[in-house]
Amino acid sequence: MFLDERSASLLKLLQHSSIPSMSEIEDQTGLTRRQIQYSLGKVNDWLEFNSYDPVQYKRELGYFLSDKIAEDEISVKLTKRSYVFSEKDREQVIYLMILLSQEPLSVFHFQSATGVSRNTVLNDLQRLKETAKEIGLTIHYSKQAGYIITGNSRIKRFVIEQLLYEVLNSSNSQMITQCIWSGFEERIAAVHEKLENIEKQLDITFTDERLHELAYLFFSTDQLIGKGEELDQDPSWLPFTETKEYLLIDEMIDTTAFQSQWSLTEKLYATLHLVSMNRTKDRSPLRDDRVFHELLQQVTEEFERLTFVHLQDKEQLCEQLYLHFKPAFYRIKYGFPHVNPMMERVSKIYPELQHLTRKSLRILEKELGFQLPEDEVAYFTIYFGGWLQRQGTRLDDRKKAIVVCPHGIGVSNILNYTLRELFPTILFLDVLSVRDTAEYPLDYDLVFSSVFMRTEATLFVVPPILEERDKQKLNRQVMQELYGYTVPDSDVAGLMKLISKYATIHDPIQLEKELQATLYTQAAGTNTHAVKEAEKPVLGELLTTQTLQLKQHAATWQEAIQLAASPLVELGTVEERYVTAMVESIEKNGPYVVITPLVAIPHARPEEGVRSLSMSLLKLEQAVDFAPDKPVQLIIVLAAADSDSHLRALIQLTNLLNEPANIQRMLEATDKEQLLEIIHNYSKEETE
Amino acid sequence: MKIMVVCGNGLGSSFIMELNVKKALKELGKTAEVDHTDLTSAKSVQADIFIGAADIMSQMEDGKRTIVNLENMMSIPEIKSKLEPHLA
Repeated sequence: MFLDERSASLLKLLQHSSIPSMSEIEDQTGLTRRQIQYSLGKVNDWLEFNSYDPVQYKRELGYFLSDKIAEDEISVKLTKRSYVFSEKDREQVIYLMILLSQEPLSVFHFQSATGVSRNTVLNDLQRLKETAKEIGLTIHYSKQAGYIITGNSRIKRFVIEQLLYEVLNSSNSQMITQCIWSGFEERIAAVHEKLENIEKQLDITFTDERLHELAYLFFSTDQLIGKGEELDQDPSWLPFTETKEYLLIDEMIDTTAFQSQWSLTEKLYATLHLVSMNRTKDRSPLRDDRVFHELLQQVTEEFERLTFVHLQDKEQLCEQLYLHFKPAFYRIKYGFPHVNPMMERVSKIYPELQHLTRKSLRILEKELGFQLPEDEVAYFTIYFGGWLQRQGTRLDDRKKAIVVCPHGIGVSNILNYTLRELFPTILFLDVLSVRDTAEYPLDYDLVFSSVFMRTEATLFVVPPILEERDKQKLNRQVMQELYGYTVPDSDVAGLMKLISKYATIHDPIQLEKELQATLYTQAAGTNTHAVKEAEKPVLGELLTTQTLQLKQHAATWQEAIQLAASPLVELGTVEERYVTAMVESIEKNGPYVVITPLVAIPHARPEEGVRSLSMSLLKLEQAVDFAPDKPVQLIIVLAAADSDSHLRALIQLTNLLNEPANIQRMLEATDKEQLLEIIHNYSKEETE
Repeated sequence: MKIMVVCGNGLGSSFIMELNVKKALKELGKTAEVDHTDLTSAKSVQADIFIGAADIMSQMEDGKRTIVNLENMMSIPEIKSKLEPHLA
């Protein structure tokens, strides 16, 4: 039952003062007589519905309201009545009505609750049926029973819990609750009171919203039991009969606020909800649970380790986390839904923090044996984020880095660990394979990679195992890149001392200055991108047992390229589309890749699907024609990551191919060993 | 004297050719500036000689440019013999 905008304003007018005549109303409202008649009818319906007398007419007074409607009450009701339910609101209302009502429901009930037309209700019902079907529930209609919903009782509860949460936390919650629970306000208030009593006895304080939700949930449960909707037994709940919470629930349902006969299972259901609700204060005996405390302690330590941040007042943070986590533990373990309204925002604004929090929580997950849902992870993120903010530490100022290492986990971890130690100010997000890097969702500024990668971020190519010398060099490069300056290997003071030992210094200040300048310029000259020849991979590092193939034949040159590139696709160093790009390049420009009889070097542009620098070689027993007069037996796929990191290997390959005898030997090779031997001969020197 | 080596992508074969052209020049006892580029860029750069695989060099032909077509890009003798007439 609700009032449209026009009827509502008419009611407001009448509430204000009587109106002498119909033509006066016409003047004041600007409506036609017909429209006014219609609206008056609506107003009267509403008045009757809310137990007021209808609009009266007396010759001397005109139209007036005989009942005085309290000013604030009517304004609330007017807002409600003039509020038009959205599609989502209507679905929630109808869904909850079907789930909870103890009386048979018809379309008419829904119409009067939501105030929309029959057709709109029927459409809403149709959508609801679909939604319900997705989770195994069926909405039926029969003349006798009206609309009912059948299916697993636990799933129904789940839906109710979810709907209650949504409805009670929506901005229109008051209007919706009035539709569904009108007439029950007092009983719900009584449940509310009982719950506050329980809070006192347990010495805990629920957050306001949660208390509100619990009151509605327990009341709804009472309604459900009343209509014979009972839960099936769940043996895993039984231990909770021992808890103080259970006793309090047992006492609570004995009061007049509750009217149905609660089974053991139902009481346990309520108990579990009680233990799993968020609270702001907790002094209950379970507090002594050392296991949780220690686990959370470990989580915070892991967080510190991953972020290289020192958390202040860690004890206090652990307390807060505990307060949050205890109920969370129960709701996750027993599968009660919990929506964190801030989740999306958290993962959008603090993606890195969320990521590192999730990683810190792995310890906890491992111990508990189940995974924490994203909503719960987001809560932890908020706690950590808040703590960092409190102590003035910000993660987003830090440079973010990923480590790319296609080697085994062991090697990758050593590299990751070494880099973390070396650069405590950099936030290391993850160790990834080349393939994973392409789909990595987080932003990063730096890439430490053991292979040459194609990346927009600043790339540092590092050996997987860093020697002291490598560390110093890398440190210089990174400092130069990040801060534009560098720490000299040996400090100037040390050098001064050393010099004074063997020579007489005439002008120590000037010498120190110049030493500083020299060391600085030298270091500044080492551009991170200008990788020295010696650091570029040699031919033998790219052409390995993994990337060499010997095959009988290929049907077409396209197939030969596909085959030749397949090890790279499998290793993930190139994407599938790189293969297509190579083929297209030849289709467009001709078989120029056949650089010498029987040898082809197909390649395409780095941005056409190269993930990291790589090469592969295919030797065919039978030649395949790249063009009518261009047979090929050796196909060397080149996947360059940039314009120069592949040049060292390419020079070596050129030297190799310059000798027709080498090509001959390769064609005669019968296994990878023989091919590798030739390749290794040309992987050493760089003379042209 | 500037020699421009041309290939489809400017990354692989043109670089190999550049190396070979340099070797050929050395064996001929000549000096020249040698660079490499891809086909598209090659059309807008200046050079005294353009050298590349026969398949793609036809696209460079405009009647004005000096063009050298190579059949075997690895063959130093071929490069030498084809380049020599153009070198002063």
